[in-house]
Amino acid sequence: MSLVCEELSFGARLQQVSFSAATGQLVGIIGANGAGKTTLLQALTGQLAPTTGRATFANATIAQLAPLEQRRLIGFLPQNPAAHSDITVAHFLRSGLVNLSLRQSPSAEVKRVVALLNIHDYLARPLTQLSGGEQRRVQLARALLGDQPWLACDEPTASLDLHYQLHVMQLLKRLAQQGKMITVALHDLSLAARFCDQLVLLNKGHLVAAGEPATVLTDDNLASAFGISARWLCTEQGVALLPSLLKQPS
Amino acid sequence: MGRLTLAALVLFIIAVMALHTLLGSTGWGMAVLGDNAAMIFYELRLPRMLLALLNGIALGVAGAVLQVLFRNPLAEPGITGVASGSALAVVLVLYSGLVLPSLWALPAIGMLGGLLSLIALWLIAGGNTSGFRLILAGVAVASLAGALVALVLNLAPNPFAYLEWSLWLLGSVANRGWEQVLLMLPNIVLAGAVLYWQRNYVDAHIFDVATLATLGFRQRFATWWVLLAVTLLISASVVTAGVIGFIGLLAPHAVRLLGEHRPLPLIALSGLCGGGLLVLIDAVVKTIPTTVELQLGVVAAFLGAPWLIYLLAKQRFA
Repeated sequence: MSLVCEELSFGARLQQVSFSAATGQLVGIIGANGAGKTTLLQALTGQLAPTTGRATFANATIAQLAPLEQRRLIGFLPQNPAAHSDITVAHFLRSGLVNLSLRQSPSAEVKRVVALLNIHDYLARPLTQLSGGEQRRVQLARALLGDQPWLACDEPTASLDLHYQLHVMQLLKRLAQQGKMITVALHDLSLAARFCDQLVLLNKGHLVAAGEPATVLTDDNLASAFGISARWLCTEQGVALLPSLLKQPS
Repeated sequence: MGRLTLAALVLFIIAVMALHTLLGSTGWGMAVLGDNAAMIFYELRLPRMLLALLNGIALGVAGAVLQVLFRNPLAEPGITGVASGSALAVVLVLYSGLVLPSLWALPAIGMLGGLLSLIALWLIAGGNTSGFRLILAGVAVASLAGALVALVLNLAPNPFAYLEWSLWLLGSVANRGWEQVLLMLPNIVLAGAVLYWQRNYVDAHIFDVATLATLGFRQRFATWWVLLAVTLLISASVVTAGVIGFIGLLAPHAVRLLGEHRPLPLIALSGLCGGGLLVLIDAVVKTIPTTVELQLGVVAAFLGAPWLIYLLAKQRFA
Protein backbone atom coordinates (compact mmCIF):
# COMPACT_ATOMS: atom_id res chain seq x y z
CA MET A 1 0.00 0.00 0.00
CA SER A 2 1.19 3.49 -0.68
CA LEU A 3 0.01 7.05 -0.42
CA VAL A 4 0.16 9.02 -3.66
CA CYS A 5 -0.56 12.73 -3.72
CA GLU A 6 -0.95 14.02 -7.26
CA GLU A 7 -0.95 17.77 -7.90
CA LEU A 8 -3.29 18.31 -4.98
CA SER A 9 -4.73 21.84 -4.79
CA PHE A 10 -7.23 23.54 -2.54
CA GLY A 11 -7.97 27.11 -3.62
CA ALA A 12 -5.05 29.43 -2.94
CA ARG A 13 -4.14 27.59 0.27
CA LEU A 14 -2.60 24.59 -1.44
CA GLN A 15 -1.23 24.48 -4.97
CA GLN A 16 -0.33 21.40 -6.94
CA VAL A 17 1.44 19.47 -4.23
CA SER A 18 2.75 16.07 -5.30
CA PHE A 19 4.62 13.40 -3.36
CA SER A 20 4.32 9.73 -2.60
CA ALA A 21 5.15 7.52 0.36
CA ALA A 22 5.00 3.83 1.10
CA THR A 23 3.37 2.36 4.20
CA GLY A 24 5.84 1.79 6.96
CA GLN A 25 7.09 5.35 6.61
CA LEU A 26 6.65 8.20 9.05
CA VAL A 27 5.98 11.20 6.82
CA GLY A 28 6.39 14.66 8.32
CA ILE A 29 4.70 17.71 6.82
CA ILE A 30 6.61 20.83 7.78
CA GLY A 31 6.52 24.52 6.99
CA ALA A 32 6.10 27.96 8.57
CA ASN A 33 2.81 29.19 10.03
CA GLY A 34 0.22 29.38 7.26
CA ALA A 35 2.31 27.25 4.89
CA GLY A 36 -0.62 24.88 4.29
CA LYS A 37 0.28 21.91 6.53
CA THR A 38 -3.20 21.50 8.00
CA THR A 39 -4.85 22.12 4.62
CA LEU A 40 -2.64 19.41 3.05
CA LEU A 41 -3.51 16.93 5.81
CA GLN A 42 -7.22 17.68 5.45
CA ALA A 43 -7.13 17.47 1.63
CA LEU A 44 -5.15 14.24 1.81
CA THR A 45 -7.61 12.62 4.18
CA GLY A 46 -10.75 13.76 2.34
CA GLN A 47 -12.01 16.33 4.85
CA LEU A 48 -11.50 19.02 2.23
CA ALA A 49 -12.52 18.23 -1.33
CA PRO A 50 -9.48 19.14 -3.45
CA THR A 51 -10.03 21.79 -6.13
CA THR A 52 -7.81 19.79 -8.48
CA GLY A 53 -5.59 16.75 -8.17
CA ARG A 54 -6.19 13.75 -5.98
CA ALA A 55 -4.84 11.68 -3.14
CA THR A 56 -4.94 7.90 -3.33
CA PHE A 57 -4.21 5.36 -0.63
CA ALA A 58 -4.24 1.63 -1.27
CA ASN A 59 -5.43 2.46 -4.81
CA ALA A 60 -8.56 4.25 -3.53
CA THR A 61 -9.17 7.92 -4.28
CA ILE A 62 -9.77 9.26 -0.79
CA ALA A 63 -12.10 12.15 -1.72
CA GLN A 64 -14.44 9.71 -3.48
CA LEU A 65 -14.85 7.43 -0.48
CA ALA A 66 -17.97 7.67 1.67
CA PRO A 67 -17.40 9.21 5.14
CA LEU A 68 -17.72 5.77 6.76
CA GLU A 69 -15.11 4.26 4.43
CA GLN A 70 -12.75 7.16 5.16
CA ARG A 71 -13.32 6.62 8.87
CA ARG A 72 -12.36 2.96 8.68
CA LEU A 73 -9.24 3.76 6.66
CA ILE A 74 -7.89 6.81 8.48
CA GLY A 75 -7.45 7.75 12.12
CA PHE A 76 -7.23 11.53 12.40
CA LEU A 77 -6.02 13.82 15.15
CA PRO A 78 -7.04 17.44 14.51
CA GLN A 79 -4.74 20.34 15.37
CA ASN A 80 -6.45 21.85 18.35
CA PRO A 81 -9.55 19.96 19.44
CA ALA A 82 -11.13 21.84 22.32
CA ALA A 83 -12.70 19.87 25.16
CA HIS A 84 -16.11 21.39 25.87
CA SER A 85 -18.02 18.76 27.77
CA ASP A 86 -17.61 17.54 31.33
CA ILE A 87 -17.69 13.87 30.37
CA THR A 88 -15.00 11.55 31.67
CA VAL A 89 -12.00 10.38 29.67
CA ALA A 90 -13.39 6.82 29.81
CA HIS A 91 -16.66 7.90 28.17
CA PHE A 92 -14.75 10.07 25.70
CA LEU A 93 -12.75 7.05 24.53
CA ARG A 94 -15.82 4.78 24.53
CA SER A 95 -17.64 7.23 22.27
CA GLY A 96 -14.54 7.44 20.08
CA LEU A 97 -15.20 3.85 18.97
CA VAL A 98 -18.18 4.96 16.92
CA ASN A 99 -18.33 3.74 13.31
CA LEU A 100 -15.22 1.59 13.66
CA SER A 101 -14.94 -2.07 12.79
CA LEU A 102 -13.02 -3.55 15.68
CA ARG A 103 -10.91 -6.70 15.71
CA GLN A 104 -11.35 -7.06 19.46
CA SER A 105 -13.91 -6.11 22.11
CA PRO A 106 -14.56 -2.38 22.67
CA SER A 107 -13.11 -2.49 26.18
CA ALA A 108 -9.97 -4.29 24.98
CA GLU A 109 -9.53 -1.69 22.25
CA VAL A 110 -9.85 1.15 24.76
CA LYS A 111 -7.37 -0.61 27.06
CA ARG A 112 -4.92 -0.92 24.17
CA VAL A 113 -4.81 2.83 23.42
CA VAL A 114 -4.84 3.75 27.12
CA ALA A 115 -1.70 1.65 27.54
CA LEU A 116 -0.07 3.15 24.44
CA LEU A 117 -0.45 6.70 25.73
CA ASN A 118 -0.07 5.91 29.41
CA ILE A 119 -3.34 7.57 30.45
CA HIS A 120 -4.74 5.06 32.97
CA ASP A 121 -4.81 7.66 35.71
CA TYR A 122 -7.12 10.00 33.79
CA LEU A 123 -9.94 7.62 32.92
CA ALA A 124 -12.30 8.68 35.69
CA ARG A 125 -11.53 12.39 35.38
CA PRO A 126 -13.50 14.90 33.28
CA LEU A 127 -11.56 15.76 30.12
CA THR A 128 -11.96 19.48 30.73
CA GLN A 129 -10.07 19.21 34.02
CA LEU A 130 -6.91 17.82 32.42
CA SER A 131 -3.98 20.02 31.42
CA GLY A 132 -3.36 20.82 27.75
CA GLY A 133 -0.70 18.15 27.41
CA GLU A 134 -2.78 15.51 29.19
CA GLN A 135 -5.74 16.30 26.93
CA ARG A 136 -3.47 16.00 23.91
CA ARG A 137 -2.49 12.47 24.89
CA VAL A 138 -6.15 11.53 25.40
CA GLN A 139 -7.00 13.01 21.99
CA LEU A 140 -4.19 11.03 20.38
CA ALA A 141 -5.40 7.87 22.12
CA ARG A 142 -8.85 8.57 20.66
CA ALA A 143 -7.31 8.91 17.16
CA LEU A 144 -5.53 5.56 17.60
CA LEU A 145 -8.80 3.72 18.34
CA GLY A 146 -9.67 1.30 15.56
CA ASP A 147 -6.12 0.60 14.51
CA GLN A 148 -6.73 1.91 10.98
CA PRO A 149 -4.02 1.45 8.35
CA TRP A 150 -3.39 5.20 8.09
CA LEU A 151 -2.94 7.64 10.95
CA ALA A 152 -2.87 11.37 10.23
CA CYS A 153 -1.95 13.73 13.07
CA ASP A 154 -1.89 17.49 13.02
CA GLU A 155 0.86 18.55 15.44
CA PRO A 156 0.68 15.53 17.75
CA THR A 157 3.40 16.91 20.04
CA ALA A 158 1.80 20.33 20.61
CA SER A 159 1.46 21.13 24.35
CA LEU A 160 3.44 18.01 25.33
CA ASP A 161 6.42 18.12 27.68
CA LEU A 162 9.78 16.85 26.46
CA HIS A 163 9.21 13.36 27.87
CA TYR A 164 5.90 12.90 26.08
CA GLN A 165 7.13 14.54 22.87
CA LEU A 166 9.65 11.71 22.65
CA HIS A 167 7.09 9.16 23.86
CA VAL A 168 4.65 10.14 21.13
CA MET A 169 7.22 10.38 18.34
CA GLN A 170 8.71 7.02 19.29
CA LEU A 171 5.22 5.53 19.36
CA LEU A 172 4.41 6.93 15.91
CA LYS A 173 7.73 5.63 14.58
CA ARG A 174 7.02 2.18 16.01
CA LEU A 175 3.51 2.14 14.50
CA ALA A 176 5.00 3.10 11.12
CA GLN A 177 7.55 0.30 11.39
CA GLN A 178 4.70 -2.09 12.12
CA GLY A 179 3.30 -1.26 8.69
CA LYS A 180 1.02 1.75 9.18
CA MET A 181 1.01 4.86 7.03
CA ILE A 182 1.70 7.77 9.36
CA THR A 183 1.48 11.40 8.23
CA VAL A 184 2.14 14.13 10.78
CA ALA A 185 2.23 17.90 10.54
CA LEU A 186 5.09 19.07 12.74
CA HIS A 187 6.54 22.36 13.90
CA ASP A 188 9.61 21.00 15.62
CA LEU A 189 12.21 20.49 12.91
CA SER A 190 14.56 18.63 15.26
CA LEU A 191 11.86 16.02 15.96
CA ALA A 192 11.00 15.93 12.26
CA ALA A 193 14.64 15.36 11.27
CA ARG A 194 15.17 12.77 13.97
CA PHE A 195 12.07 10.62 13.54
CA CYS A 196 10.61 11.09 10.07
CA ASP A 197 11.55 8.89 7.13
CA GLN A 198 10.31 11.45 4.69
CA LEU A 199 9.55 15.16 4.89
CA VAL A 200 7.22 17.32 2.82
CA LEU A 201 8.25 20.98 3.08
CA LEU A 202 5.60 23.57 2.20
CA ASN A 203 5.83 27.31 1.74
CA LYS A 204 2.71 29.44 1.16
CA GLY A 205 0.80 26.45 -0.19
CA HIS A 206 3.55 25.35 -2.58
CA LEU A 207 5.75 22.29 -2.29
CA VAL A 208 9.35 23.30 -1.67
CA ALA A 209 10.83 19.83 -1.38
CA ALA A 210 9.86 16.26 -0.52
CA GLY A 211 12.15 13.40 0.35
CA GLU A 212 14.50 12.21 3.06
CA PRO A 213 15.18 14.76 5.82
CA ALA A 214 18.77 15.34 4.74
CA THR A 215 17.69 16.33 1.23
CA VAL A 216 14.80 18.52 2.41
CA LEU A 217 16.31 20.40 5.35
CA THR A 218 19.02 22.13 3.36
CA ASP A 219 20.26 25.63 4.15
CA ASP A 220 18.54 27.03 1.06
CA ASN A 221 15.21 25.38 1.88
CA LEU A 222 15.31 26.53 5.51
CA ALA A 223 16.07 30.06 4.37
CA SER A 224 13.29 30.14 1.78
CA ALA A 225 10.60 28.37 3.85
CA PHE A 226 11.32 29.70 7.35
CA GLY A 227 13.59 32.72 6.78
CA ILE A 228 16.23 31.28 9.11
CA SER A 229 19.72 29.90 8.94
CA ALA A 230 20.67 27.05 11.22
CA ARG A 231 23.36 24.59 12.17
CA TRP A 232 22.82 20.90 12.71
CA LEU A 233 24.12 19.19 15.82
CA CYS A 234 24.81 15.56 15.01
CA THR A 235 25.38 13.05 17.81
CA GLU A 236 24.99 9.32 18.23
CA GLN A 237 21.54 10.02 19.71
CA GLY A 238 20.35 11.77 16.57
CA VAL A 239 20.31 15.25 15.10
CA ALA A 240 19.07 18.58 16.40
CA LEU A 241 18.63 21.92 14.75
CA LEU A 242 20.20 25.01 16.27
CA PRO A 243 18.82 28.07 14.50
CA SER A 244 20.87 31.25 14.43
CA LEU A 245 19.39 34.31 16.11
CA LEU A 246 17.38 36.60 13.89
CA LYS A 247 18.94 39.85 12.83
CA GLN A 248 17.30 42.68 14.77
CA PRO A 249 15.65 45.24 12.52
CA SER A 250 17.71 48.46 12.63
CA MET B 1 -25.60 9.67 37.73
CA GLY B 2 -25.95 7.02 40.41
CA ARG B 3 -28.86 4.59 40.60
CA LEU B 4 -30.03 6.21 43.81
CA THR B 5 -30.35 9.62 42.15
CA LEU B 6 -32.19 8.06 39.23
CA ALA B 7 -34.58 6.30 41.60
CA ALA B 8 -35.11 9.58 43.47
CA LEU B 9 -35.90 11.34 40.17
CA VAL B 10 -38.42 8.68 39.15
CA LEU B 11 -40.04 8.84 42.60
CA PHE B 12 -40.21 12.64 42.35
CA ILE B 13 -42.02 12.38 39.02
CA ILE B 14 -44.50 9.79 40.30
CA ALA B 15 -45.12 11.95 43.37
CA VAL B 16 -45.78 15.12 41.37
CA MET B 17 -48.06 13.19 38.99
CA ALA B 18 -50.07 11.95 41.97
CA LEU B 19 -50.05 15.41 43.56
CA HIS B 20 -51.27 17.00 40.33
CA THR B 21 -54.21 14.64 39.84
CA LEU B 22 -55.27 14.81 43.48
CA LEU B 23 -55.11 18.59 43.67
CA GLY B 24 -57.93 20.73 42.44
CA SER B 25 -59.51 24.13 42.93
CA THR B 26 -62.05 22.51 45.26
CA GLY B 27 -59.43 21.01 47.54
CA TRP B 28 -57.28 17.96 48.10
CA GLY B 29 -58.18 14.37 47.22
CA MET B 30 -60.98 12.68 45.30
CA ALA B 31 -63.60 12.69 48.06
CA VAL B 32 -64.28 16.44 47.69
CA LEU B 33 -65.38 15.87 44.11
CA GLY B 34 -68.50 14.02 45.13
CA ASP B 35 -70.55 12.05 42.58
CA ASN B 36 -68.69 13.42 39.58
CA ALA B 37 -65.32 12.23 40.85
CA ALA B 38 -64.74 9.65 38.11
CA MET B 39 -65.75 12.03 35.33
CA ILE B 40 -63.65 14.88 36.68
CA PHE B 41 -60.67 12.56 37.12
CA TYR B 42 -60.80 10.96 33.63
CA GLU B 43 -61.99 13.90 31.58
CA LEU B 44 -60.28 16.84 33.28
CA ARG B 45 -57.51 16.02 35.72
CA LEU B 46 -55.87 13.03 34.06
CA PRO B 47 -55.60 14.53 30.54
CA ARG B 48 -54.38 17.83 31.98
CA MET B 49 -51.69 16.10 34.02
CA LEU B 50 -50.66 13.90 31.08
CA LEU B 51 -50.55 16.88 28.74
CA ALA B 52 -48.30 18.76 31.16
CA LEU B 53 -46.12 15.66 31.48
CA LEU B 54 -45.84 15.10 27.73
CA ASN B 55 -45.16 18.79 27.08
CA GLY B 56 -42.44 18.77 29.71
CA ILE B 57 -40.93 15.63 28.19
CA ALA B 58 -41.02 17.13 24.68
CA LEU B 59 -39.49 20.44 25.75
CA GLY B 60 -36.90 18.82 28.04
CA VAL B 61 -35.75 16.45 25.30
CA ALA B 62 -35.79 19.20 22.64
CA GLY B 63 -33.75 21.53 24.87
CA ALA B 64 -31.18 18.87 25.75
CA VAL B 65 -30.78 17.78 22.11
CA LEU B 66 -30.24 21.38 21.01
CA GLN B 67 -27.70 22.02 23.77
CA VAL B 68 -25.79 18.89 22.76
CA LEU B 69 -26.10 19.56 19.04
CA PHE B 70 -24.94 23.18 19.26
CA ARG B 71 -22.44 22.46 22.04
CA ASN B 72 -24.03 25.43 23.75
CA PRO B 73 -25.49 25.18 27.28
CA LEU B 74 -27.72 28.19 26.64
CA ALA B 75 -29.47 26.70 23.61
CA GLU B 76 -33.21 26.08 24.07
CA PRO B 77 -36.21 25.36 21.84
CA GLY B 78 -36.88 29.07 21.26
CA ILE B 79 -33.64 29.61 19.35
CA THR B 80 -34.67 27.42 16.45
CA GLY B 81 -37.59 29.67 15.53
CA VAL B 82 -39.80 26.57 15.38
CA ALA B 83 -41.99 27.57 18.35
CA SER B 84 -42.53 31.05 16.90
CA GLY B 85 -43.31 29.55 13.47
CA SER B 86 -45.92 27.21 14.93
CA ALA B 87 -47.43 30.02 16.98
CA LEU B 88 -47.56 32.29 13.94
CA ALA B 89 -49.37 29.65 11.88
CA VAL B 90 -51.99 29.13 14.59
CA VAL B 91 -52.53 32.84 15.20
CA LEU B 92 -52.84 33.47 11.45
CA VAL B 93 -55.58 30.83 11.17
CA LEU B 94 -57.40 32.33 14.16
CA TYR B 95 -57.09 35.81 12.64
CA SER B 96 -58.33 34.74 9.23
CA GLY B 97 -61.42 33.23 10.83
CA LEU B 98 -61.13 30.17 8.61
CA VAL B 99 -63.77 27.54 9.29
CA LEU B 100 -61.72 24.43 9.79
CA PRO B 101 -63.02 21.05 8.64
CA SER B 102 -61.96 19.14 11.77
CA LEU B 103 -60.61 19.44 15.30
CA TRP B 104 -57.24 18.31 14.03
CA ALA B 105 -56.90 21.02 11.38
CA LEU B 106 -55.60 23.78 13.65
CA PRO B 107 -52.90 21.64 15.28
CA ALA B 108 -51.95 20.31 11.85
CA ILE B 109 -51.50 23.85 10.56
CA GLY B 110 -49.46 24.71 13.65
CA MET B 111 -47.21 21.71 13.01
CA LEU B 112 -46.89 22.82 9.39
CA GLY B 113 -45.81 26.26 10.62
CA GLY B 114 -43.07 24.61 12.67
CA LEU B 115 -41.89 22.58 9.69
CA LEU B 116 -41.91 25.69 7.48
CA SER B 117 -39.70 27.39 10.09
CA LEU B 118 -37.29 24.48 9.82
CA ILE B 119 -37.22 24.89 6.04
CA ALA B 120 -36.64 28.65 6.49
CA LEU B 121 -33.80 27.78 8.88
CA TRP B 122 -32.31 25.49 6.23
CA LEU B 123 -32.56 28.16 3.54
CA ILE B 124 -31.09 30.95 5.70
CA ALA B 125 -28.29 28.73 7.00
CA GLY B 126 -27.61 27.65 3.40
CA GLY B 127 -27.70 24.00 4.40
CA ASN B 128 -24.76 24.75 6.67
CA THR B 129 -24.86 22.79 9.90
CA SER B 130 -22.21 24.64 11.91
CA GLY B 131 -23.67 25.61 15.26
CA PHE B 132 -22.99 29.32 15.00
CA ARG B 133 -24.70 29.79 11.63
CA LEU B 134 -27.68 27.70 12.63
CA ILE B 135 -28.16 29.61 15.89
CA LEU B 136 -28.03 32.95 14.07
CA ALA B 137 -30.43 31.68 11.41
CA GLY B 138 -32.74 30.42 14.17
CA VAL B 139 -32.66 33.79 15.93
CA ALA B 140 -33.55 35.45 12.61
CA VAL B 141 -36.50 33.09 12.01
CA ALA B 142 -37.69 33.45 15.63
CA SER B 143 -37.48 37.26 15.49
CA LEU B 144 -39.36 37.49 12.21
CA ALA B 145 -42.09 35.04 13.27
CA GLY B 146 -42.32 36.77 16.68
CA ALA B 147 -42.74 40.15 15.00
CA LEU B 148 -45.44 38.77 12.71
CA VAL B 149 -47.29 37.26 15.69
CA ALA B 150 -47.17 40.66 17.39
CA LEU B 151 -48.47 42.27 14.20
CA VAL B 152 -51.41 39.86 14.00
CA LEU B 153 -52.21 40.50 17.67
CA ASN B 154 -52.00 44.20 16.95
CA LEU B 155 -54.57 43.80 14.19
CA ALA B 156 -56.90 41.65 16.31
CA PRO B 157 -60.52 42.41 15.40
CA ASN B 158 -61.65 42.94 19.01
CA PRO B 159 -60.24 43.03 22.54
CA PHE B 160 -61.66 39.60 23.37
CA ALA B 161 -59.87 37.96 20.45
CA TYR B 162 -56.69 39.81 21.44
CA LEU B 163 -56.96 38.57 25.04
CA GLU B 164 -57.76 35.01 24.00
CA TRP B 165 -54.87 34.75 21.55
CA SER B 166 -52.44 36.44 23.92
CA LEU B 167 -53.36 34.05 26.73
CA TRP B 168 -52.99 31.10 24.36
CA LEU B 169 -49.52 32.31 23.43
CA LEU B 170 -48.50 32.41 27.09
CA GLY B 171 -48.93 28.66 27.34
CA SER B 172 -51.37 26.58 29.34
CA VAL B 173 -52.62 23.03 29.71
CA ALA B 174 -55.90 24.06 31.33
CA ASN B 175 -59.20 23.14 29.68
CA ARG B 176 -57.54 20.71 27.28
CA GLY B 177 -58.64 17.14 26.70
CA TRP B 178 -57.57 13.78 25.38
CA GLU B 179 -57.32 15.17 21.81
CA GLN B 180 -54.24 17.15 22.79
CA VAL B 181 -52.74 14.19 24.63
CA LEU B 182 -53.32 12.01 21.57
CA LEU B 183 -51.66 14.63 19.38
CA MET B 184 -48.56 14.81 21.58
CA LEU B 185 -48.04 11.04 21.84
CA PRO B 186 -47.30 10.12 18.19
CA ASN B 187 -45.02 13.13 17.82
CA ILE B 188 -43.02 12.14 20.89
CA VAL B 189 -42.82 8.53 19.68
CA LEU B 190 -41.77 9.58 16.16
CA ALA B 191 -39.21 12.10 17.40
CA GLY B 192 -37.92 9.51 19.88
CA ALA B 193 -37.52 6.99 17.05
CA VAL B 194 -35.56 9.48 14.91
CA LEU B 195 -33.35 10.44 17.85
CA TYR B 196 -32.77 6.77 18.67
CA TRP B 197 -31.81 6.14 15.03
CA GLN B 198 -29.31 9.04 15.14
CA ARG B 199 -28.14 8.34 18.71
CA ASN B 200 -24.51 7.73 17.76
CA TYR B 201 -24.35 11.00 15.88
CA VAL B 202 -25.88 12.91 18.79
CA ASP B 203 -23.52 11.24 21.27
CA ALA B 204 -20.52 12.12 19.08
CA HIS B 205 -21.15 15.80 19.81
CA ILE B 206 -18.94 15.42 22.85
CA PHE B 207 -16.18 15.80 20.25
CA ASP B 208 -15.19 19.14 18.77
CA VAL B 209 -16.24 20.10 15.23
CA ALA B 210 -12.93 19.07 13.63
CA THR B 211 -12.91 15.62 15.26
CA LEU B 212 -16.61 14.98 14.56
CA ALA B 213 -15.92 15.62 10.85
CA THR B 214 -13.58 12.60 10.80
CA LEU B 215 -15.84 10.10 12.54
CA GLY B 216 -17.64 8.80 9.46
CA PHE B 217 -21.03 10.54 9.73
CA ARG B 218 -22.98 12.13 6.90
CA GLN B 219 -23.21 15.24 8.99
CA ARG B 220 -25.70 17.39 7.10
CA PHE B 221 -28.06 14.49 6.62
CA ALA B 222 -27.87 13.52 10.29
CA THR B 223 -28.12 17.09 11.61
CA TRP B 224 -31.28 17.86 9.68
CA TRP B 225 -32.92 14.61 10.80
CA VAL B 226 -32.17 15.48 14.40
CA LEU B 227 -33.55 18.99 13.86
CA LEU B 228 -36.68 17.48 12.31
CA ALA B 229 -37.20 15.42 15.48
CA VAL B 230 -36.76 18.56 17.59
CA THR B 231 -39.23 20.38 15.33
CA LEU B 232 -41.86 17.67 15.87
CA LEU B 233 -41.44 17.96 19.64
CA ILE B 234 -41.57 21.75 19.76
CA SER B 235 -44.43 22.15 17.26
CA ALA B 236 -46.54 19.52 19.00
CA SER B 237 -45.95 21.31 22.29
CA VAL B 238 -46.93 24.71 20.86
CA VAL B 239 -50.13 23.49 19.20
CA THR B 240 -51.31 21.64 22.30
CA ALA B 241 -50.24 24.05 25.04
CA GLY B 242 -49.02 27.32 23.52
CA VAL B 243 -45.52 28.67 24.03
CA ILE B 244 -43.95 27.43 27.27
CA GLY B 245 -40.48 28.85 27.71
CA PHE B 246 -37.53 27.89 29.87
CA ILE B 247 -38.41 24.24 30.55
CA GLY B 248 -36.16 23.32 27.61
CA LEU B 249 -33.36 25.29 29.22
CA LEU B 250 -34.02 24.33 32.83
CA ALA B 251 -34.38 20.56 32.50
CA PRO B 252 -30.95 19.75 30.96
CA HIS B 253 -29.19 21.96 33.51
CA ALA B 254 -31.04 20.31 36.38
CA VAL B 255 -29.85 16.94 35.06
CA ARG B 256 -26.28 18.23 34.77
CA LEU B 257 -26.49 19.41 38.37
CA LEU B 258 -27.38 15.82 39.27
CA GLY B 259 -24.06 14.82 37.71
CA GLU B 260 -25.05 13.48 34.30
CA HIS B 261 -23.06 14.87 31.36
CA ARG B 262 -23.15 11.99 28.83
CA PRO B 263 -25.34 13.19 25.94
CA LEU B 264 -27.77 10.26 25.62
CA PRO B 265 -28.59 9.83 29.33
CA LEU B 266 -28.70 13.64 29.57
CA ILE B 267 -31.36 13.81 26.85
CA ALA B 268 -33.46 10.97 28.28
CA LEU B 269 -33.29 12.32 31.83
CA SER B 270 -34.01 15.88 30.63
CA GLY B 271 -37.27 14.48 29.26
CA LEU B 272 -38.13 12.97 32.63
CA CYS B 273 -37.03 16.05 34.51
CA GLY B 274 -38.88 18.42 32.13
CA GLY B 275 -42.03 16.31 32.51
CA GLY B 276 -41.80 16.31 36.30
CA LEU B 277 -41.07 20.04 36.46
CA LEU B 278 -43.95 21.03 34.22
CA VAL B 279 -46.42 18.83 36.11
CA LEU B 280 -45.20 20.40 39.35
CA ILE B 281 -45.48 23.94 37.95
CA ASP B 282 -48.97 23.20 36.64
CA ALA B 283 -49.96 21.85 40.06
CA VAL B 284 -48.84 25.19 41.51
CA VAL B 285 -50.74 27.05 38.76
CA LYS B 286 -53.92 25.08 39.60
CA THR B 287 -53.80 25.84 43.27
CA ILE B 288 -52.73 29.50 43.36
CA PRO B 289 -55.95 31.29 44.33
CA THR B 290 -56.22 33.98 41.65
CA THR B 291 -59.38 35.23 39.97
CA VAL B 292 -57.99 34.33 36.53
CA GLU B 293 -55.87 31.14 36.47
CA LEU B 294 -52.23 31.97 35.84
CA GLN B 295 -50.76 30.78 32.56
CA LEU B 296 -48.31 27.89 32.77
CA GLY B 297 -45.80 29.62 30.49
CA VAL B 298 -45.73 32.67 32.77
CA VAL B 299 -45.01 30.66 35.92
CA ALA B 300 -42.41 28.55 34.08
CA ALA B 301 -40.71 31.76 32.98
CA PHE B 302 -40.84 33.10 36.55
CA LEU B 303 -38.79 30.11 37.61
CA GLY B 304 -36.71 29.92 34.45
CA ALA B 305 -35.52 33.49 34.10
CA PRO B 306 -33.76 33.65 37.49
CA TRP B 307 -32.19 30.29 36.66
CA LEU B 308 -30.82 31.69 33.39
CA ILE B 309 -29.45 34.75 35.22
CA TYR B 310 -27.82 32.40 37.74
CA LEU B 311 -26.20 30.39 34.94
CA LEU B 312 -24.88 33.50 33.24
CA ALA B 313 -23.52 34.84 36.53
CA LYS B 314 -21.89 31.48 37.26
CA GLN B 315 -20.28 31.50 33.82
CA ARG B 316 -19.07 35.07 34.30
CA PHE B 317 -17.52 34.52 37.72
CA ALA B 318 -16.20 31.00 37.04
